[in-house]
Amino acid sequence: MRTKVFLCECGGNISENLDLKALKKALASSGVEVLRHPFLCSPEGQAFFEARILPGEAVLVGACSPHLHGPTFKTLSKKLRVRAFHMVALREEAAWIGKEGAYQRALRLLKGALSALPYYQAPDLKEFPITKALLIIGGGIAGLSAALKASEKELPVYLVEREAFLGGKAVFLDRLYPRLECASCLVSPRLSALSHQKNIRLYTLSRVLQVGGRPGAYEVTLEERPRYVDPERCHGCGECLRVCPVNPPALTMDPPHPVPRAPVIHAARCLHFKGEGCSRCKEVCSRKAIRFEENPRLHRLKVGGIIVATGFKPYPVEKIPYYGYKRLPGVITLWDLEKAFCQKEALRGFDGGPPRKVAVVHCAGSRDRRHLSYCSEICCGLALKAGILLRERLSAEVYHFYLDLRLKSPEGEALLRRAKEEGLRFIRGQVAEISEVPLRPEDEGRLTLLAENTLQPGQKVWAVDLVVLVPGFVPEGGSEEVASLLGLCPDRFGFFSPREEKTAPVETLRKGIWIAGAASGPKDLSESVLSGEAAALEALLFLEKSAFLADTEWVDWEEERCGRCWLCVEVCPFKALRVSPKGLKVEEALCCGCGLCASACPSGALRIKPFPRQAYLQTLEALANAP
Amino acid sequence: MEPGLLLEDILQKLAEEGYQISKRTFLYYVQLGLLPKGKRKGQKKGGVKFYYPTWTLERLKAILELKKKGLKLKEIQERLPKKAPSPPLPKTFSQAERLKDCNACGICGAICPVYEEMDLPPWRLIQAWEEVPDSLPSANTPWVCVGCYLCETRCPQEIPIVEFLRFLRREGLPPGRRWRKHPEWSRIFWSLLEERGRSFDFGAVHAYQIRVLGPAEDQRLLLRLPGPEGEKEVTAPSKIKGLPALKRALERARGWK
Amino acid sequence: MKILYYPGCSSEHLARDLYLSIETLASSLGVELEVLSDWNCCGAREIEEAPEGVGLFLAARNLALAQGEELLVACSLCFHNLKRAQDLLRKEAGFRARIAELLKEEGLELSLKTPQILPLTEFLARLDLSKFRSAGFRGLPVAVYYGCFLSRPCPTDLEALEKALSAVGYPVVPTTLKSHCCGGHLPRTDSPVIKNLCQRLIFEAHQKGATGLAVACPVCKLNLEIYGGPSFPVRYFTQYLGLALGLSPSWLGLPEEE
Repeated sequence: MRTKVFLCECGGNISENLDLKALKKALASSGVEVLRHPFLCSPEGQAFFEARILPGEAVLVGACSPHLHGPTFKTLSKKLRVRAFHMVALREEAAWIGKEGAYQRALRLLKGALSALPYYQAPDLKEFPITKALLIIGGGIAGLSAALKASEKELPVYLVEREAFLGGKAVFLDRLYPRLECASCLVSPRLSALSHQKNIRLYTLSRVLQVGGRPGAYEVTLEERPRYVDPERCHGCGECLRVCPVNPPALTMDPPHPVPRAPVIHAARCLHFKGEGCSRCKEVCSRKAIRFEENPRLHRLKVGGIIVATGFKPYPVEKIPYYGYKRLPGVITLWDLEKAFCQKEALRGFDGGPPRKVAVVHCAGSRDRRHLSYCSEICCGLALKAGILLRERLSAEVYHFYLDLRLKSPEGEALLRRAKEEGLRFIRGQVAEISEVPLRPEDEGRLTLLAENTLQPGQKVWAVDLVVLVPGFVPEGGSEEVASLLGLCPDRFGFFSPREEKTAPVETLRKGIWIAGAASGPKDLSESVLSGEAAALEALLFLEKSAFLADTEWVDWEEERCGRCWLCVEVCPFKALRVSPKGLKVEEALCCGCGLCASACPSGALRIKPFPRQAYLQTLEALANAP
Repeated sequence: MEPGLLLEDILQKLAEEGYQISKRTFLYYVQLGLLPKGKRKGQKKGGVKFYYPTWTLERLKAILELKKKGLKLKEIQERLPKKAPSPPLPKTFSQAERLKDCNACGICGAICPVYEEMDLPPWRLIQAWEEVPDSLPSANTPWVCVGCYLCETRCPQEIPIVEFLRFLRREGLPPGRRWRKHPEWSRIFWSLLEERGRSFDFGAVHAYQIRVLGPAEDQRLLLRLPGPEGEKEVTAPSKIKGLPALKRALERARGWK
Repeated sequence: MKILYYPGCSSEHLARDLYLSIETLASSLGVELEVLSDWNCCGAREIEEAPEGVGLFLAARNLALAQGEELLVACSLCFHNLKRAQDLLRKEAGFRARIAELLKEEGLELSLKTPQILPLTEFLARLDLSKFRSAGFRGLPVAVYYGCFLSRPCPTDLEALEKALSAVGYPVVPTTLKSHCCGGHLPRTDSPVIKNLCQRLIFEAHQKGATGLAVACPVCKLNLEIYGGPSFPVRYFTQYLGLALGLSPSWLGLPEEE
């Protein structure tokens, strides 16, 4: 079998650290033909590749990681009927590590791969039909944008929301950064459009219980908790909220634009469920919408793809004891402030009166190794916006304590200028403490805040009536659960990692699963909408096909050798293996041939067929014998 | 003048960093001229010890590294600089890398209980150190620090601020530029400690005035408190038994580098 | 019960009342305090300006003298110095070897494991104090104050004072500044800084309804008494405990009228 080796310079990325000339010489001496190209992935490079290969030859490509251009060369090789194909990441595994030793590393990798090449076997391609339905987990702005976009094609869209109402955090926003336009004017039309869309089915108070099946044909079980109010009958008059004797009422309908427009009964607070025989809400309801007899329900859905839009939550700043959140009156978060503005609630300072002096504390827990080591980027703009509203609506003196002002979008600087013109003060310094105990006697009755003005030494004690803490973004609670149900990989901060951060931002490593919104990292409203729609379009492209092709038959199970410990089932991150009465069963559409199961198997009963044991042994031998 | 390092100290330090070298090899290198000769110094208890300049350690490390690469001693000799590195290695803060994390957020100054007494807050000293490690502004900060560690509990980057100030107090300024607010009290503290093994927590009474009456054998201490109590006499501390040994040990410990 | 005990220099003058109350309290609790024989000064704050070896040696000599599982320490500065040195000696083999050589002269040997340095607060909190409470004693609400060295950098149990005091019947008022700084050894007499710090601590205790402040550290006590304002009582927590046990004020270093 003739073998050809292609070496890519990667525009200097590889050739600058690696002596390709010497490498070519060393390999050529072992009898293979070595070809070199400055950019093998470019159109010219691909033409070069195509022109030099004959059917039946074996091909080894030394270039970037197979994650990047693996598919490019694999497809070409397949087209050219190459007998065996393999790729070595010369760039990532040799050149980028450093000049020193790069040549030796490259030579060993290539020699190893070469000696194994004759043993590689191409996996079988198979066709898998696709169910034309889409599931979206999370009914925040990203999820509902995705649902609206996807519903434009005639296929069923299921939107699952854990809370009682749709819209997530967006419905409690008052104004938007940076133009201070009305948030609900933008969000509420989308919410109402949702209920007009016939092919969208909403599940509120619901969570995903189980996910089975495979890409293109997932079987999902949802659990819907009872609302105790029939949204079909209720028309949201709110009479029941007024007659509820409990304080706060056991029925709520918090959002200014509730969708669905029907309250929810919280059984834990409701007197009826405490056995006290109350049914005032039921008696007052003219539409007979109250249903105390409702029970949790299970729904089984068949979908071809899933969009995960589980969103974010603000960092729980009560974890920072010296800021006094949830302990001190007059210490609130930015999200509390948004909600108060949105619901037209009066703001109260530390002494219970209207606040005259307000501190906006940026980076509450952010860029702090003990809390969030990262910057969420969005919060500075939100904080600036909040400061301006506090000034304009309360005529309060507003002090921003910041570290660096990270104002996104070209409009950000203009907003900062407006803030300064309106008299907002900006103090560069991290707040060290917020306390009810004054350091100066005259500050009694106010909150004492310690922060050094690092740009102008002098003052470090500030007395204010209200403190607005600005927390960073963390993944919404329950996203780990979703990750483990779907086999997604969260990054070290708990956000879902896209397949490729920059070039495939809404795809995941799992076929048929996409991510949208702040679930994959801090995003503002427009970015959430953007990623929601992008995910929907990706999903539509996938779902419009009747089937997809995938490599299969990766795993070979030797029954006699198997000790039935099922470690393989446990380690498989794709949930591709399961135990059946007949032994180990591989779900072909889920398996991607990563080989974790084979390496975990203590008795050697599992093999990855395209890479037979002989191939590994040859590689190891070549590695061991290399200079 | 610092006495330098003992052979044992050098080997110990190297062993901690994972280098293996015997006493014999060390002396052989000295003989070859790869390493500097030690200075003789008579010991109070009798006997003689050899002290090697502090840069010996770095030089020996360099030799061992070259040796690892397979160079012969002769080749090593050619590669190494002929003489002592000059000027001698500056004393550096062992956790200097951590200081790079400082974002100048000012939280250390903000939480510092004695901020108002400091010429500069800790973070400014860190920034100055990052700029030019050897020329620190002559601020009183390291000496004003009361060691409450509040800054370290707040610092978002968990920088060892108190350790850094401690380092500056000890090593950061050249001799003669030592900043000491109360040299007299310090003297009394140490003389009591050396003559009795116990002292008087002068730290605790820094804020108050103190007077010593009588000769060393019959010391009386008068403490003036800024309260209604006024001046009151306190007894000198009692003596310990193992005093001579303690005195000698303290002297040796002072010579530590 | 017998426990090895390191009094520290302040026992001889500045904080004699603390030590008097400790001894009285110990004897009525049936605890035998075995004073560490030939203990020496830990170097207080002055070691900060001496080479590292000096402070390490002063602490190590005491640690080597202490042949026992635990060493009870009352003064929080001594606790800090001993604990810091012990941690450093455990971590750094180089220091350990050099200190061992200095100790050899007196025939002393340093153990890596023992003694465990036990602050007085934790020791008293783990005894069952409630059964010693004098019949009919009704404690007035107090606030507690730990100060720096029991809180940082080697934190001790910061509920110990609350546990001990409430066991004998004092309602303990929760405060937020119990681990803050009183100004410590701020070396100036004319500075308003220390006054502000101390008055703030007293202000909080007073504002939250305490009738007195129970402290653990001699330096804090002195600062708070002198700068905190005249009308608010600041006492060692051991004195509060003694009163609850029905012990005579004069045995606790308190004026007779208490």
